[in-house]
Amino acid sequence: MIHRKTHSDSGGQPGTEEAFMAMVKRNEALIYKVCLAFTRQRRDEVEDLKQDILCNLWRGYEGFRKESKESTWIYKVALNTGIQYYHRNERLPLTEELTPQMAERYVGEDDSRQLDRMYELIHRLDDEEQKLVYLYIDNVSGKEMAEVLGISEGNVRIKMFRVKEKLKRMAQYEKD
Amino acid sequence: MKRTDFDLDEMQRLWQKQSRALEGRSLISEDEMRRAMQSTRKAEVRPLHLWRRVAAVAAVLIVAAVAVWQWPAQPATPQLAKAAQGPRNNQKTQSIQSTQSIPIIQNTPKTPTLIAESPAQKDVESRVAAQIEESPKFIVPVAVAEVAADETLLAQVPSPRETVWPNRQSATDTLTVYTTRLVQYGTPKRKSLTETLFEPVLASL
Repeated sequence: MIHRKTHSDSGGQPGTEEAFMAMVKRNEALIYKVCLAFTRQRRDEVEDLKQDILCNLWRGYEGFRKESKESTWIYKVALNTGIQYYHRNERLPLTEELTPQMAERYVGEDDSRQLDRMYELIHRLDDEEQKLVYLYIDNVSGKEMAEVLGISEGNVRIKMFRVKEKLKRMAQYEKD
Repeated sequence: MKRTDFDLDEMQRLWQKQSRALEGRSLISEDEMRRAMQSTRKAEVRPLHLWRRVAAVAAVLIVAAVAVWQWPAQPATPQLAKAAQGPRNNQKTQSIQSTQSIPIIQNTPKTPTLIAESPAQKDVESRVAAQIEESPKFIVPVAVAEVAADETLLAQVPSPRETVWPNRQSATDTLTVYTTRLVQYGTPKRKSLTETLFEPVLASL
């Protein structure tokens, strides 16, 4: 009896691959928003980070036991990958003229520039604070935020309060 | 959580606007997903390469261990090694008598490896050692040995002189010191001294 090789080129079961792709499709907006946030909306960088996040998701997919919500796990992987990517590239010079703001296509020029300023402000926070802010502005519940960050809900509230104060001070400093 | 802070509210508003704009769009293609899965598979192959590297390092370590294990089997002459490393100028002008404190291998007077630095020199040494063995009077040219210690006096020696040594050990010790000095001069000079001094010594024995 001839056994057919059922594994595809990507090394996983065909069923697993399909399930993975379906999961990514369901959460593609989430992944894409993280890409925009950590690449300062530069098109080539968005593509790079998107690949990094997909690779990390696929790498961790077998270990994902679905004990937490799908989106919680994806947030965790995407935000960690985004922060790593940002640190790796933050000193690289920007080629703003050659790479128009990606979000312009979705929210208009003014809002796109406003978003860019917002990202700049957020990236001055430390890694955990950045994750907290992105989860907050994406309307993620306190419970899910706690799961993504691995801290208690009470701790999330305290940290969120401090981050708000910090952002206020930073925005005020910018104005002055 | 009550969201009243102006800045964060503004950020949230923009973020949500962007989210709505992204809804329903195809943002990640199937190709991109497949590419990511394939590149991850390639990355997972790396441990095999790592094992190859580990095997190569292990092989090098084994070879090194064997080399170290074999090391004592090779002829070791501490005084030659010391002479090769030691300072030269401050010892050049000393006499043979003053340098006899250099450690000498005892009970091995006839060992040719004492001066086994070059084939020619080794040959000369072997022949000198053989002559000493056969000579009833253990004749060794001490004057020549002294001159060899100071190369500036070399030109002043018209021909080897001879002296009679009390015993074989004394003669061999002098020869050893002599050889040590030659090593200190370096290869070209050593060759010259060998040709200038040892050969006439041999002829005179």
